[in-house]
Parts: sequence; C-alpha cells; structure tokens
Amino acid sequence: MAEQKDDVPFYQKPEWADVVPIPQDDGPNPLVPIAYTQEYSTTMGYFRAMCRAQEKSERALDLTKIVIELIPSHFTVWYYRQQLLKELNKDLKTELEWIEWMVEEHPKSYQIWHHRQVIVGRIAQSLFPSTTTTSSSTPSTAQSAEAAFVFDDLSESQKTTVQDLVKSELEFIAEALKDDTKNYHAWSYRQWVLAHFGQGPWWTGELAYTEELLEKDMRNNSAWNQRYFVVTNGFGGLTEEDVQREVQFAKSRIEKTPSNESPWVYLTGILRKGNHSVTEIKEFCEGLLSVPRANFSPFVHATLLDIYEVEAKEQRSAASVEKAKEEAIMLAEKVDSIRSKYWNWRKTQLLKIDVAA
Amino acid sequence: MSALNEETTVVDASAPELLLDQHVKYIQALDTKKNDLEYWLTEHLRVNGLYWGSTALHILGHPDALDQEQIVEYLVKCQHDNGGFGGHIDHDPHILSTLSAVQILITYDRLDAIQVDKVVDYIASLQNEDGSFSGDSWGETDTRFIFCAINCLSLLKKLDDKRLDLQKTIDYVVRCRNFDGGFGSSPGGESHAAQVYVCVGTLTILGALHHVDADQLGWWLSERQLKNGGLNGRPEKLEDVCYSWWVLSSLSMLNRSHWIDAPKLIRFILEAQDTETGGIADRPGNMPDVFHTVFGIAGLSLLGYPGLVAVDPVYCMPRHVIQRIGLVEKH
Ligand SMILES: [Zn+2]
Repeated sequence: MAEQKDDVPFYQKPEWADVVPIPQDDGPNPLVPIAYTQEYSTTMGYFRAMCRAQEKSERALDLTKIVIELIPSHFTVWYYRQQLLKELNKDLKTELEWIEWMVEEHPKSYQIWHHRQVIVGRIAQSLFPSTTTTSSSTPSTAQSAEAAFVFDDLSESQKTTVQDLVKSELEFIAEALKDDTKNYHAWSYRQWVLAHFGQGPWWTGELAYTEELLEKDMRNNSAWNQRYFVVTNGFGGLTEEDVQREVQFAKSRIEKTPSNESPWVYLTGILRKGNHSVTEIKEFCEGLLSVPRANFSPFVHATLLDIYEVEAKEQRSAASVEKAKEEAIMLAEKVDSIRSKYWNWRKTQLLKIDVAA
Repeated sequence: MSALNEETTVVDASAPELLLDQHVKYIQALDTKKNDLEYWLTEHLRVNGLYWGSTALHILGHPDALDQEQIVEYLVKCQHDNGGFGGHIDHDPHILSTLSAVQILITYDRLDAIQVDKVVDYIASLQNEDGSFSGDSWGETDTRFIFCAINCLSLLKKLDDKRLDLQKTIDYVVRCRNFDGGFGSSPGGESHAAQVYVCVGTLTILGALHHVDADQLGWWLSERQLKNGGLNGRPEKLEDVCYSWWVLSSLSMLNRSHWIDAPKLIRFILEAQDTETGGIADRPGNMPDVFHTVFGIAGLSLLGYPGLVAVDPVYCMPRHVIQRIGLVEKH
C-alpha cells in the first residue's frame, strides 16, 4: 500500500506534527513487558492518540489502514474505521476494493470478513433507505432468518441493482474460495449474502455452484454443507422433488468415492429431513458390497447397520438383527477397527431389540 | 491438594514420555520472547495466553510456576469501566479475554480482586435479541461468544441474572445444529469440532443437553479420529492437537469419550511435543505454541494420562477448582 512504500514514515510528515503519541502503558511492574519494534510502537502510539481523541479526520482514516495492514487482528481499529467511514461519508465501493486486497493477504482474518459484511450491509441499506432493513443495528447475526428485503416486492430496476450487488459479492467470495475451498469465514459470509437479500434468483445459481465445486473435489465437506443449506433454505424449503434429485445426486457421488464421509452424511441427512426412511437406500447399499472398492468403505457398512437395525425394530425380525450384528462385527474388526469400541457398543444395542419368537 | 487423575489409562509402552519439566520451563519462558515478531502481533491475545499458560501449569501440577500476584495485578489493569476485560492493558474489552481473565482469577481463587457485578453487567449487555451473544460492542456473533458468556456467568454463579433470556440462547444454539449432528458458528454454518465443543458446553451448562442426539453426534466426533490417532475438526481436514480437546471434551460431556482409540491419541499428542524447547505443536514436527500446549496437556489429562491433575471437560480448568466453587454437580 502507498503509505508503506513511501520512504518517509507517516509520523514524520507535517500533517502529523501536532499529534502526541501515547505510549503503551504496561504498568509499573509489567508481567509481560513488550519490546516493540520501533515502527510498531510508534504507529500504535499515534493510533492510541487518535482513538483517545476520537478524532474524525482523513488522517485518522489513513492511520486505521496503516494499523490494519500491520496487525489485522486488532479488532478495535476496524470498529474505529467503520465509524470514520460513516462520519466522513466515504465511498463504500472503494472500501470494497481495499477489502478485496486485504482478503487476499489475510484470508483467515475474521475481522476482515466481518468488515466486508458491515460495509455490504450499509450499501444494501443505502440502496433503499425507506425499506426497513435488519442490517443497521445488528449487522452480524449471520443468517438471520429475516432478509433485508422481500425481493419480489422490488421494482425491476431495484431488482437489477440488488442482483448485481449479490452477483459481485458471490464472485468475490468464489475468488477467495479458489485459494482455500474450506475457508470457514468465506462460507459464513457467503451464507449471509445469500440470505440477507432474500429469495432472489441467486439461489438457483448457488446450487450449480456447489455442484461445480463438488465436480472438482467430491470430498469438499464445506460444499456439501452449502448444498444442504441451499436446498433447505433456498426455495421455500425442501420439496419431495428436491429429495429425489438430491438422493440421486449423493448416490452418484458415493459410487465414485464410496469411502467419502460427506456424501453419506448428506444422503442420510436429506432422507431424514424429507421424512424418508433410511431403509429406502437398502438396495443401493447392498449393491455397493459387490463393488471391490466400496466393500471396504466403513460408511457402506455403517449405513447397512443402521438399515438392518431399523428393519429389525420395525419388523421384529431376528434375521435383520443377525445381519446388523454382522455389519457391526465387520466394522469393529475389519474396516473401522480404530472405532471398535463404538461398533461394539452398537452391537450390544442390537441385543435389546425385541424380536418375534 | 489437587486431585490427580483417578482412572489412569494404560499408555502404550513405546509412546514417547511426557516432558513435564520441559513444558513448565517452556511456559515460564514465554514472557522472555519479546523480540519475536509473533509476540507483539498477538498482543491482543495476551490475557488468553495467560489463561492457556497458567491452566497448562496447573494441570501439569505446577500451579505456582508463574507469579500469581503479578498476574492478578495485571488482570485488574485489563478490566474496563464497563466491566469487560481487554486482551491487554489499553485494549478494548472482548468476551474472549473477559472469560480468560475470570477463569484465571477463579483458578487462583482471587475473584476478590475485581468487580464481579460489573463483569455481569458487561456480559448481559452483549446478549442479542435472538438469544446469541456478541463478542464485543462491535456486534459480531459466533457460537463461541455464546459459550464464553454462559461459561463466564456460570463460573460467577450469575446465570440467574434477570436481564438474561437463557431460553432464547438455548433456542439459538439448537438452530446451529446440523444434519450431521454437529454444530456450526451460526445457523447453517458447517459443523466444526471447536463449534461443537462450545455448543455442547453451552447446552451442558444450561442443562439442555437433551437437545443433542448424543449417539449421532458422538459418532460424528469419533469419525474425527484418523489412522495416526490424531483428530481433525472437519471431514477431510488435517489432524491437529487442539482438536484433542475440542473433540474429546465434547465426547466426554456426551459420556462417549471411550468411543475413540485413547492410546493412539495419547501417542499422537506426545509425538507433537518439542523435545528441545518443550511445548506442544499442532502436529508432530511443527513449532510449539502455548495454545496447542494447553489443549494437548488438557487432552492428555482427560484421557487419564498418569501424573496429571484432572481437568474439567466443560470449563477447561482444573477439576478441583470447579469442585471448590461447587459446579461439578452440573454435569
Ligand atoms: Zn490447532
């Protein structure tokens, strides 16, 4: 950034001459005396002076940038910057460009992501000041059920504006996810963007996006989680048609990577959410047993154990108990012995099932 | 006298030894590393660091290895007029450092040094309309902050404060539960072992653990153990010593810690020790830090490693301290 590349440090420039930096107070007998580097301690001294005076000026705004670039995890400075941006009525689009640069440098700093959310919340509010938005007072509640707008109630031009904003945010996040597909902060923010602007057409695009990510890496658990978020929140809830489609989707991925935990959890999760019984995938699971790679997947056997256990309870079937027991033994002794205590416990639970004589 | 672990686990004879004395020296020496860049970059975490260091020392059976008077004096300076504690002197208050400060003071039995009612005022001021808690007056929410608030109020015996709506807090945490049985940082957020710990911990303290499907979540947590014995935080992520704590303590609160392979996990943690400097790293071969040191040691204690002081799975403090303040019946 410009400030840092200058040869002269900011505090030697004339516009800072009147500020008296406040040194760190470590107390008289500090347990943790801190030997700061010179640049850091001087910068922080000026920052403390600005904070204490609550100065609302361009130079204070410049200083927040210097401090943030030096130490992005210092949460106070972000808050100060947000106040300054408001008081000085700064262009928020410019702020977004700077955040983009910061995210590239510090993708795991949650303060940066939160700052993005605050700024985009403000932009959203400024677009339609008459609309009551949830963004102003508590910008942070990530997936607050209430969206800022009812998308369908907007005029055509308003819809276009909102769509453009959402699109650019989703593209920005996708860019960050390219470097780290499991960045937790990026995903949290993504869910906030999707939900904050209501039920717009971007939800359809999001389903395609998760598919695209899973095409690249079927083991991306974050993408599976996002897919669940989309199908259960995006289109007014999970329909029977959704269940059928998603079951097929998960099955086809399981066939490719049978020992991948994520699609299994997704598959059973969708069935449960759609009020379907896990026994509906019995044939699918049994079929996998004859596939050489799949028959060693703990998840095939674990799901079969669940299925036979349900059958045993529902039909009071001794044969199903036997089959379930075989799966538990298989898991405990062969395919998942690290969790043998868990599987042995499951086996003992089977003994409690009341079967027909 | 601190209670040592009652049930001791059989430790694999070929596993490395616990370098107890070296860890004590490592933690004592942390304050002398002021020329490290890392040291001032983590200034805002100084109070958290003190909690990690002093808790590790207590579990190692060396409660007096740091100067208690100096620590108390320092913490008093970190408390603000609004009752919250900053991460260091002159830093703005935050729920994370507030919990750490209270934990340290209770461990040293020095709550008398601060204004407890003001801490409660501060925490009560952070509760949001939806029942969640913000981390600071800036407003960011995360299930971590909910746990910090509830944990802290519970330690201070102030959960009955009339300004709080704990039913809403429970409802919010339950909304963060996912289809895999785990919990995320917000409703819809991906399950993550550290978020599971804070949500299960909150529900345990609030007596609302019945909202959890313990068998389903217990299995998901057990699935976090990898072939080398280490635990990861999410599917397909790398194993990491700090998850020894997040996963294991959660399993412990669910009464299912016996579902994983304890000897293998003990070995994994011990292999992450730095044999030269002391301290524990995130995984074998990496640089140690105080964060992974405390959670590695706390994990070993929870696993019943011989010679360590028993740790409480909810509060991550010595169990005898939690007993002293009369909170053990809670879980
Ligand atoms: Zn870690």
